[in-house]
Amino acid sequence: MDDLREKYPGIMEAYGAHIEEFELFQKHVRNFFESRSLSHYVHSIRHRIKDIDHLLEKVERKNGEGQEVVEDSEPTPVTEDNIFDRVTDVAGVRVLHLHTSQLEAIHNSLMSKVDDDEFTLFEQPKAYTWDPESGEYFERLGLRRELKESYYTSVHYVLRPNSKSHATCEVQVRTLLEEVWGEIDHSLNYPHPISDPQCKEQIRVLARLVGAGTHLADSIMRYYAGHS
Amino acid sequence: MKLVSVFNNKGGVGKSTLSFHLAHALAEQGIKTLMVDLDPQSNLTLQCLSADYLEELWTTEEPFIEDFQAALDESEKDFSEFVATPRSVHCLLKPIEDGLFESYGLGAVYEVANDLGLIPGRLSLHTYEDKLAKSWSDAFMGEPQALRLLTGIRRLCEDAGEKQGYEVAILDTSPSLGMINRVIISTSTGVFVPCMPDMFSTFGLTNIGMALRSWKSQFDTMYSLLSDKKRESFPGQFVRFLGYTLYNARKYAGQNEYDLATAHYAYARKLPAVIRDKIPKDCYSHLPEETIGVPVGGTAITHSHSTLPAMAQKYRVPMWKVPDLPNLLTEDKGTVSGNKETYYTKREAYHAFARDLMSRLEGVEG
Repeated sequence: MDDLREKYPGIMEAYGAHIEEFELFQKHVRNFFESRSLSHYVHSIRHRIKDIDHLLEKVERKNGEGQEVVEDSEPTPVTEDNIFDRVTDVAGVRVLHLHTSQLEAIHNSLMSKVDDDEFTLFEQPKAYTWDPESGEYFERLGLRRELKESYYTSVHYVLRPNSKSHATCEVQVRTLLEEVWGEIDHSLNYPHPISDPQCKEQIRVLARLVGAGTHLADSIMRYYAGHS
Repeated sequence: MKLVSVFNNKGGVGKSTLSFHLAHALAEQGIKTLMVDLDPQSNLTLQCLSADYLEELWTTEEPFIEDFQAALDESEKDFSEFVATPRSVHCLLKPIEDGLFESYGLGAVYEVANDLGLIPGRLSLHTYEDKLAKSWSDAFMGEPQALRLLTGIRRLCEDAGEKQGYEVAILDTSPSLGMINRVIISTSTGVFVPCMPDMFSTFGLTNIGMALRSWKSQFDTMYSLLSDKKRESFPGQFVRFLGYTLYNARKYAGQNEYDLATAHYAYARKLPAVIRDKIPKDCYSHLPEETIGVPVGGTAITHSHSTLPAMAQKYRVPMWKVPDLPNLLTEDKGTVSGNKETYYTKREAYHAFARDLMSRLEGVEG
């Protein structure tokens, strides 16, 4: 870790100079999702700021040195000049909801803030899903569908306060059940993926179970919510 | 519209008298000037209008300061009727402080002289400052009410510019580095510091330098977090430091370049170095390096005479107009007529000072 701190002094400095902006912008984003108008749709919110050592590890992975996994490797290395364009999850907010149909209200509310110029989209929102039925739902909302190698599910937004700011905040929206899978997967596979084939298989089964659970929850809410 | 803050860390040194004469000098040179008295002590206001007028104004406003909406309802007037009579700056800011309207016009400005207006001060301005302090962190979240509070004073000045043709606003401030001056000074076009050649000036410049550094970093952070639309209600750049001026000093002709007593000169000589060491460079990067070390207006207004400012205050006109006043009292005629020429020369001195100050604002966007 100290090696990375010595290797990237410029990134350390940029992080120190701008981290407050990330923290404040994250607070702004959290306030939005915690607002009264979304309280029927949002169950709870989690958030974190990436600390300097995790940021440097990510930079190191992106630069393809010292790690076998090179995710979205690009021709130019990550430096202090492009760090905040290349790593957009320094601030992260996770918005959890109960069932899939709530996403529509959350998505529309966020997009209207974007239309009002309150937030600026750094990139087009993406919906990660492996499930064809959910995929169709996301596409109907105008979300671009993407597939990750794992069974990862979540809708991703990268927000900025304005067109010139360094600060970004990555927003992930998913159901509580998807969060359960995500947390178990994360604790086993991050940052180093587990190699045991049996464990991999069990995580895959859990993903299908969570997928089925989500559909069942949606179905229950669709038929019985409002009947009580 | 250019907003010039006049700030001094030490009170009671004649800053309001200086603001008053500066504003008159600008107006006499055809620059439509608005004085805004943001010092609750209201000395600038009392230099322009009688204590009786001010008492009447403050009394009328009292219910509005307590509860603006209730008082407006009670008065059976609408807001534009209410502000058709000149109001104090706190009364004009009160609807924002109470979160009543999203936007509103300035209304009438008290006319002091040709091309010269005044928004009077008010002793109660501290409640606006309290609200500013409470809302400060919300402004970083882009909260609309907090942003309205932060831009309220600036908005009044801009309104005077857009609707009534004012070109420059002179903002007279209280001698504190607290929240309200953080906002007033940081969102002005320029700030200058009247200095007496004493130890307070060196410490005062050091303090304002440290404050400017920290305020700039706070506003940079805030600006980086505001949406492009919300950012527009703030000035494009952080306040420019326009320099200092030496004033209120006794003249000791021939002693040194500033004609000051040796002890005073020792302090005066330190000021350029204090500025170079303590004021952030990027606050005066628009000026040539040598300019910032020279007092604004050179020695034009350095030397004071004990009776001249007192007469200007008594008759509420600039010093150079005192000798020709038709209402000059017999008791004053003697002292004034003996020094007529001294009174008259102040006119060109303040005009020169005002011109130099404006030249330091050239090319700086409002």
